[in-house]
Order: sequence, then C-alpha cells, then structure tokens
Amino acid sequence: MRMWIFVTYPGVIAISDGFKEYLFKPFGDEKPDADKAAKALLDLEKNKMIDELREIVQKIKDSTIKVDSESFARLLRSEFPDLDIEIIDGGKELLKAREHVSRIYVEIFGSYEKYVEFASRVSAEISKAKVAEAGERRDLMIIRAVTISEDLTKMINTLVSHVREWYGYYWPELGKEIEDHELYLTLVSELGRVENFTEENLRKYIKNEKLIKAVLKAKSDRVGISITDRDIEMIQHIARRTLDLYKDKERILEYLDELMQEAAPNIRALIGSVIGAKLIRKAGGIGELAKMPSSTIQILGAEKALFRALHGKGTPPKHGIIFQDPRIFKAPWWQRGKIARALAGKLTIAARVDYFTGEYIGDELLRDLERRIEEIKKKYPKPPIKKKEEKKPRPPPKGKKPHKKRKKKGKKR
Amino acid sequence: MSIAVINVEEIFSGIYFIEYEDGRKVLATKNLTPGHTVYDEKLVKWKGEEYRVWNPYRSKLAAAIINGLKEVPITKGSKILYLGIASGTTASHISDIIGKSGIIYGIEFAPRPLRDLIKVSEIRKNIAPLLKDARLPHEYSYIGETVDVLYADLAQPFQAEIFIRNAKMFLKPGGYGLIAIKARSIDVTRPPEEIFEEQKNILENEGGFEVLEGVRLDPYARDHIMFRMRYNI
Repeated sequence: MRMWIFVTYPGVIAISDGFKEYLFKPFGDEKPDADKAAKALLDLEKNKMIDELREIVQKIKDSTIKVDSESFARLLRSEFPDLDIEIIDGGKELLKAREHVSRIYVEIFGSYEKYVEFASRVSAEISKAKVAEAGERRDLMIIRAVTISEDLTKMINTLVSHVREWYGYYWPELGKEIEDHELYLTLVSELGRVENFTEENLRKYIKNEKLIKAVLKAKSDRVGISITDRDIEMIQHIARRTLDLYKDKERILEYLDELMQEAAPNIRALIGSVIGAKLIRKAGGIGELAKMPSSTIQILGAEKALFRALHGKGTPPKHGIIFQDPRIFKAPWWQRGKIARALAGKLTIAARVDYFTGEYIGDELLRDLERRIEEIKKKYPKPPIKKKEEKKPRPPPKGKKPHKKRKKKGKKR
Repeated sequence: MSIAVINVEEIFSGIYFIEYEDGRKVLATKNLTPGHTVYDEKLVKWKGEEYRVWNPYRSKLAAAIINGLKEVPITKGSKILYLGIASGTTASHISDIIGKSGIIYGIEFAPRPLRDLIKVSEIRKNIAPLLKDARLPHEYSYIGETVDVLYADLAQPFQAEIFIRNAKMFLKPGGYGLIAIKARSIDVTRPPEEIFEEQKNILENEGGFEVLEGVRLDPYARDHIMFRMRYNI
C-alpha cells in the first residue's frame, strides 16, 4: 500500500492512496490541543522528531510513504532508515491528496468553522514564538548592511578616481566640466572616445544645456594624449563596473532601510536608517543600545575625545555619531550640544521602545524633538561671549568647538 | 458631521459600493467584527449593518476592483493562501468577504508587520498568520489542505516563479490565482508593458495558469497590474 503523510495543525494525518482510509493522531490527548499543536509544529520546524509522527509511521512502516518535501523525507529517514519513501513535491497528485485533507478536517472538528478557529490560533501561537526569536538577531543584519554600504562607498571612490585619472590622460578637460561621478562614469562608459561626444548623444544623458555647451567646448580644447582601442575598452569596462557598484550600494541601502523599519522603526524615524544603524553597530546591537543611558548614546563614537578629556586634556565631546545628523552639524556651534542632548534623549526612548515593545511612536518622538529644537533656537540665538574668552588655550580638535567645563564623570560604554 | 449615505449596493459577493449624498462612491466590505477597525478605515452604518470602507490606495485588490476587475474569485467560505500578507490591510477585507467558514493562510517574511497581523488574527479568527518565506512553500506544508485562491502581492523580482511553486503545492486544480505585479520591482529600466507581458507568459507557459484578465492599478499604485487567472492543471 502507499500512504501520504501530512503533518497538519490538528495533528498527523496518513491517507491511503485511494483516499478511502486515513489515520489521524491529534496533537493532544484524543482531541487536538492548540498549545500542544504549536509546540509540536515548532519542534518539527527545527527538524526534531515528534511523538505523534513517530506513532503514525510505526503503524504504516510497511507501506510506501509519500511526502511532499526532501527535508521531511530526511527527518523520517533519520529515525526509520529502512522506510520506503517517495517524494512528490508538487503537481496534481499531491494536490488531489490535499483536497481530501479538507474533508478530514471537517470530520475531526465536526465543522470546518471550528477547524478555521483552531488553525488560526495555532498559527498565531507559532508566529508569536518566531517573531520573538527573529526580532532578536535582526540587528546583526543591520550591522552587516551598514558596514557593507560604507565599504562600497570607499570602493566606489577609489575606482572613480582611477577612472578619472585614466581617462584624464586622454581627455583631461572632461573631468573638470563633469563633477558628478555617476554622470562622468556614464558618459565614459557609454560614449567612449571623444568623437562620440556629439551634441545629440550628450542630450541623452545631460539635461542641463549649459553643461552640454561646456562639454562641447572641452571637446574642442582637448589636449590629451592619444590612446588605443584596447585602452579605451578597458576604461569603459571599469567605468561600467563602477556604475554597477553604485547600483549595489543603492540596493543595500534599500535593504538596510527595510531592516530598520522592521527592527528599529522608532530609531529610524528619529535619525534615519543609516545613522541609526551606525549607532546600533557601535553599541553592538539594539539590545545593547536600549540599555545605554542617554549621555552615552550622545557621545557614542567619540570615545577618543571622551577619554582624552577624562585624562585632563581638552574638553569632553558633545556628540559622537549623531553629529552626522544635519540638525546638529548645520546648527551654530553653541546650540549643537543642546540639540545633541535632546536628540540623544529621544533616541534612548526610541531604542528602548524598539527593543522592548516594538510599538511605533516615532512620529510623536520626532514631533517632541522638533519642538525642543525650535525652543533651543529661540532661546539661544547668539553665541555666549564671555565663555569663549575665559578659555581659549589651543585650537579645538577638528569639528568640535570648546565648551564650558563639564562635570567630570567617566562613562564607559 | 459627515455626508449621508444614500445607498449600499452589493457588486460582488460580499463587496459593496457605498453611495454618498454628494454622488461619491466608495468600496466597502461588511464588517465581520463590528466595532473593530484594523487600520484607520472608516466605518459606515447602513440598515443595521456595519461596513468598512476599502481604500484603493492602501489595497491593491480594492484598486483592481475599482479599475474594473470583471470577477472576484473570493466569496463566502473561500480558502485563501495569501503570499506577502504584510500587516493585513487587504487581508482584513478578504476576511470580511469569506466569513467564518473561510480561511486565509497569510505568509509574511518580515516579523515586524506580522506582529500586527497576529493582533488582527486574534479578533478575526479566519486568518492564520505564518512567519515564513514564500520562496520555500514546503516550510508551511502543515496547512495540509488545498486552497481555492492563491493571492500574491510580493514586490519581488521572481514573484511569478514563487507564485507557481506555491500553486503546485497548494492550489486546487481549477482554482484561481490573483497576483499583483509591480513593474519596478522586476526591472526599473524596462517599460512596464513589456514586463507585464513577460510575467504573463511565465505564468501561462510555466505555471499552467490561464490569464483571464489583467487590470492596471493606476493611479492607486503606479506601474502595477493585477492578473486574474484560472489554474488549469
């Protein structure tokens, strides 16, 4: 005889080939039990053998057993090496057998409605357990994604400067006219030799009429050396590959944004995906970030300056990674520390909500923060004069302005 | 406070057009769980029944219906496998249509939106949320039965292939497929028409689907199409 085996929400079902007979072993004693079903199915997902399945297989181990996946077959073989297993992973035969499963559900529960309620509950239980599990390590993906995007930027910059130098031997004037790297690479890879830089061709890539004129002028002014077809071919090839890297970078940033939306939506709302991801990386994970005090988050990434200050040299930093946010670096220097403190405070709340509850309160946080920044701008429109004179011993470290003395308190991350 | 409703007309099984006094018409479904909303949809009362307004900007199925989908294969008691269910905006309306004797198996890969869906499923007991990768249908083989309708909104480059793989495992022969295809997630550079034609060919030639109609979803979703198909294997 040949028997199908299906592990389903209510239990393990074996159906004979002609669909006349079936065996059923519920998860639970006698009747299907939602909690037991959820536990059994979670075990099964981890490729653990479950009792109900073992029992059914024991009863039919002389038959040919038909299953719908390789992984399920492997699990059965691990416990019953002599089993005769046939894998049918799709198509009419499988679908026909499955159609009978619906009928069996009705027989088990008395009505299809009751099955629906049961399946929904078990499914929700399983998903809850998995969401909790999955939530934990999504930050690893975030850290990887942001690091790769940074490395791609470095690679792109290196390659762009190579291409500019290289093509520059041949036509140095073009580089001066086209400042945008992507446009430069596109022109070089698509058009190649200077002859192809006709007005008509340029129109395809450049909208700005002035720029087209400038390129045409550069063409008539060209003083570069001559190169072979082989040279130009290689330059074009590398230019094309560099453009591909731009696309890769865009893709990875999109991916990063999805990840942040999923695992840290509040941090993302406050400071954006990229800076948010850098903070998570520096902290070593969302959980770690959530456990940090606001003052630590404020200067995360400025450890060098912090420890220098703790050793009595220089002033303590006011901002670390969060300085990359335009709301801070575009603000006048005497407001930066205050804004950084406000932002770090909101970020701390965001990180904790993201890690512990997962609700979305990003919009409110952002609104509060914006209100506070407005307040700071209104209250401190002018730089504080006297403090500047009182302390001006040596030029401040780059990007960081001197600040009044702050209480000495070491914060190790 | 608002403009009065003057008529409610059933256009498909469980799907209604609500007509307002000022001539405006909106799509809606009858609320399976009166008093509860799922996202920020409006509730409308008419002749003792509560309806949930179905926003075509939020749901591609609603957009397809408004743009003239000739038939909706989802009716009372339908069993649905929904790939890319997200937080359940569209699914909640499908849940209204199929009622308590139907079921939606909702596959979602991202934990975040699924968390919201789990909450929805606690009230709407005809939704079974599954945190799974639609590319690996054997991982949710414990659905057990076949479904009447396979619905997909995945925004993935290999969506048609994923759709076919799921159909082979779960879609009843003679059942229906609904798939929302976003041209830009397949290829940003090629014209949408060309991509839609190519996807249609994949579904027909490799999947055994007969494409019954294709409805563009503009202006609600740009460069999208929804295909309604019959599974002929």
